[in-house]
Amino acid sequence: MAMLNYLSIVLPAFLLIPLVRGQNTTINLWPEPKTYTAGNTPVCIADDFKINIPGDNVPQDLWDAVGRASSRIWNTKHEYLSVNWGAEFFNDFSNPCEHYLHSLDLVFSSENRNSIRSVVKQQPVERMALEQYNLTIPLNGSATVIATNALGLYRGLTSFEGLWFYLAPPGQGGNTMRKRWSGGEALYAPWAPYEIQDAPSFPWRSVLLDTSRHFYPLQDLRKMLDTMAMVKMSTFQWHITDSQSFPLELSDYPELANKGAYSPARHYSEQDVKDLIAYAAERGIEAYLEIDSPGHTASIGESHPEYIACFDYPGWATNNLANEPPPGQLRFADPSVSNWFKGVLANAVSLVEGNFFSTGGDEINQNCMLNDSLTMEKLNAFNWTLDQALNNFTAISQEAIHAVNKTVVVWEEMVDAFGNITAIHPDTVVLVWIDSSHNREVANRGFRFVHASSDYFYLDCGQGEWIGENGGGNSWCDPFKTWAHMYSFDPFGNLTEAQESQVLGGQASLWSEQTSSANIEVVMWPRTAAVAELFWSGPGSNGSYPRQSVEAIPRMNDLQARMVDRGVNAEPIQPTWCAIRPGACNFDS
Amino acid sequence: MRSPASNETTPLRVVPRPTRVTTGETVLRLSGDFSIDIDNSSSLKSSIPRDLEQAIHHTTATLHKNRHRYLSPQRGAEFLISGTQHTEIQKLILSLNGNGKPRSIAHDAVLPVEDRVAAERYELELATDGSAHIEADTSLGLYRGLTTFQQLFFYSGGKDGFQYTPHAPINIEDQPAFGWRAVLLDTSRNWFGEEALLKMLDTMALIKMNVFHWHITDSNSWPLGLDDFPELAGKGAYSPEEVYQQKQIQKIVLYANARGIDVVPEIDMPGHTAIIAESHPELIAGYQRTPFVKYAHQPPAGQLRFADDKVTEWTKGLLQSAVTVFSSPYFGTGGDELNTTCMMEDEETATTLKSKGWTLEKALDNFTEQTHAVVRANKKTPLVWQEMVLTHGDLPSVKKDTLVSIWIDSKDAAKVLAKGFRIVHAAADYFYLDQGQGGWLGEEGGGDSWQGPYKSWQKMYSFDPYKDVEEGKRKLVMGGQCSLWAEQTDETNLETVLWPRAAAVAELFWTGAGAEGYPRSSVEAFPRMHDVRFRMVDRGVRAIPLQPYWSALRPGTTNK
Repeated sequence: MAMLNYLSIVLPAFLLIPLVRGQNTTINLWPEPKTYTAGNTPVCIADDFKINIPGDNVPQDLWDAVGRASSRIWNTKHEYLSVNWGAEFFNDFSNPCEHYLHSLDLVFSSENRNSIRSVVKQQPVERMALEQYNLTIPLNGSATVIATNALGLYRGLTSFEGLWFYLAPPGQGGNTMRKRWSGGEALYAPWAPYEIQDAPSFPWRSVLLDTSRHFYPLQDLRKMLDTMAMVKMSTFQWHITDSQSFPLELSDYPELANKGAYSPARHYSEQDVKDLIAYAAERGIEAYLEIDSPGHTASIGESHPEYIACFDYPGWATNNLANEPPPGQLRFADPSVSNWFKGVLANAVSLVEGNFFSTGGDEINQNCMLNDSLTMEKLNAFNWTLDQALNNFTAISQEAIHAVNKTVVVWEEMVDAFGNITAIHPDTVVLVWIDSSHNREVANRGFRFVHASSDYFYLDCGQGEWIGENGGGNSWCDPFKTWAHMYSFDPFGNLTEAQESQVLGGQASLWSEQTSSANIEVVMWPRTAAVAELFWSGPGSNGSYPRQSVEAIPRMNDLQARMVDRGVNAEPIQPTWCAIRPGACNFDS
Repeated sequence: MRSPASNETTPLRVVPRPTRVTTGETVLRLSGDFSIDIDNSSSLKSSIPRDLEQAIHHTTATLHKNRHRYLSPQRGAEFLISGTQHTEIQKLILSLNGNGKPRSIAHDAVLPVEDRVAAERYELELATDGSAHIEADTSLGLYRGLTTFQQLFFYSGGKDGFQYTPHAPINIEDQPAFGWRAVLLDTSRNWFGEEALLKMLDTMALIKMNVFHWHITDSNSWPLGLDDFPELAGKGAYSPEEVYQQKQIQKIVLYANARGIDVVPEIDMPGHTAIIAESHPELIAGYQRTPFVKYAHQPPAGQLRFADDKVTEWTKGLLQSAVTVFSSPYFGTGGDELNTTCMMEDEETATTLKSKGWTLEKALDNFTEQTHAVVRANKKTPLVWQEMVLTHGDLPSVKKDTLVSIWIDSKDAAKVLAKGFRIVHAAADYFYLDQGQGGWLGEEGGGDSWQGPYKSWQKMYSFDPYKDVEEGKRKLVMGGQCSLWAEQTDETNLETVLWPRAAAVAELFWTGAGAEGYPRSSVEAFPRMHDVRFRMVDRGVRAIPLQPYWSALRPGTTNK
């Protein structure tokens, strides 16, 4: 998109300081908007600045979002990253702001007054259309976000928030230029006027968090959702249970958490889950639960040992009973177990608001089942193979999801590893995780899918082997996936053009073997934002994939510092020296 | 009561594992008015060093504040049968051996490295009748004993919670195997505030680490605020707020010394000095010269013009000003990664070399001779990186008493020892905490870390300090160090990068070989490492989990 040249309408004084802004082909937004133009003139937030929503019947959650955005804008202490920390944008330090913005208007362009929260009930493709917005920031007066509905206005509001920098008052800042300024502090956006027209490229921009290997307090989850919303992520797959612990309290099955959670303090009550799902929805994020099954269920054995094969068997590794301890899987060849588990799923799915629910289905260990005499009895009695038993389990248990008109999300093995599981409905969403090249097979089978492959999007890789072993080892999916590596992924690689529409988006997964409340933020941020931009902004500036990560470094540094300013422990991607000198730390510089 | 061989599992979860321990199975609890007293016959009674007094108060407070519970599925309930009256520990008595005025902890923290081993020795006795006693020859030894004592206790939980130890009687005779157990932190690539440093020192003290190698300056920023050279930080710090002022440094050093930690400063030179050009461009060759790959290992390029007499004189003044700020008997002058192209393509340097008829090595030798003379004149010993003895020929200026840090490859230790130098194991293939975070220089798709994968604590722990070291050279191995180069670390992730991994280094170099010799078994150490990690979290440190919580509660279930 061509740059509009605003130099001619800018006061001549601003031309006295040589700035990079004349060549400004990018603005500090993450994810990068689809199309935009920007100018060369700083505009400041006026003291009387406020955010308005004209008209009646404004949904409450949009007002709440305005309240949060406005308090964050006023609290911004994030400075522009350059050796002069933004002072270069101003040449008159006695009166730096010549242009003031007095308001932001959020304008509905249709009669739709549904809440942000209600949008999680929409199908992904429809939801994506609702995320579109236009944002205009002139040199003076009022800025405007226009969208058809509350979610679009919310996305636009989020972009507006991300444009502001803090100019420290004299004496508090560092550099000599800043010291020349005699005014107070200011909040400014350096490149007004701004014209942004934005919409996502993919609907599914997701984080998975595993709350079974380690338990996370609700405040961690809420903070994660806030940070996800900051980069316009849309989906949260809550891998709420696994073999290690069962923190989900279900009213019909209280024994599961009572016996299977790490401790009574490490429970999520039904109300906790509903509240968190609502909290996410008010931020444009569909949060749905995953109850991984029939593998990854050993913790059920604490309350129902009779339903679990190879529960507490010794030698998980030497006897090849599981990928990690503890071994134990649902006796899925037993229809009474399948029916019992269907009830568990029915209870769990009643807690979600949106369209999706995940039943997992990865890493089923055959050895565990074939060494289980009860399972062998059933297989013989029904004359089933293990795959046929799995098909029966899938048909019975997933009925709990279909019965309430929700769509099942499964891991790739359910369609590419266990033979022909005909019970899988064709509208099922498949998560490709083992290897990114497996997308082709899943696409060939006609499923919609999400890129979540471990070779690009596993946040836990590269922390070293955690199993006890003298000398230690490397993590199974070594090395660490840098944000730049994630960013270099091509969502359409390995696919035919016709299959491109089956790509729903991407997901960064945080498996919690080595992550807890202590390090969740440094493991997740800012890396996960690479997934947010890849699947929001689509192809790079040359119109194709892969996107250019080098071009994105200055914005990534800006985003990281902005997250820190909001109290998020996002880790630095470079020395400060590099962050304040865009381009100086590229390999070819 | 049993006395396990040193590589056999001990039920005690104290990191570093004490060198000699016996334990029992009696549960003792701390009395609600538990206090720490001085033995009446001890010389401490008349004059107790202020830092020991503070450590005593701190230990009492820490014990009462502790909420860390025993790691097992029952969370310690297995030790606390309800209705049982557990004998209480009313007092812990400290005795200092010998007569004369007791020395402070801080005094002995900065002893020569060879003298530290004896000074850190202590004995701890906890009898089933509740009597508790620590005995040592120094305040520093008593301090180490107090630290161990803290780690003996778990919180009961429940109403009227209390502190208890399940393993009485306990007898410990403990002293470190090595006198140098260090963390290096680079405060130039990214900034770390005073509070973050003090907290790091507290956590180091918890695991008896005794050296903070403070890589205070580098090419990226100069946060060292020296009264005589204010322009260096004035122009070279990231901002005026991101400077350690001289007085503040002295406060940090005192804080460390009072915790038995020697702060060894390093002003890396003549490489790693580009940022000096911000205030003294005439002193630096090739500042910000590009392409950086030709002139430096990472941006920005720029090194002291060390062939130039004026530069050498100036540097001597700088060192004179810096050495006096620190109490350590050591001073690091760096000397790593000198880029010769940067020097040879520098016109001023080329001219100087020609006029003097010097090679670059000769110039480096002269520079080292003169700068190290300043360090020695202040009764301190220089500490250098391995290149100073392996890369530039045998520089006569590097005297045999110089301490040498091995960093490029652990195999290089033998080469440095062969030349008769004392060494510190700090090799990147075991002890670089920054490895495995991926490349950080801008390149499409990103790259991997330069020195391979993340160094897990188990990897660090598997290191053998005496590998390829002949018997006669072993006394030259001073200890070990994990290094945190801060390209991708700042206050946001300092603790998650450092802890609890560095505790593996603490134990490796405190506890020593064990009966079976090196390498130590990380599988044996796992329950202790979990315990100390949760203890750190209880103290507000963001130490990362080593395994799922399920595994942490079930020692031994999660091995290969």
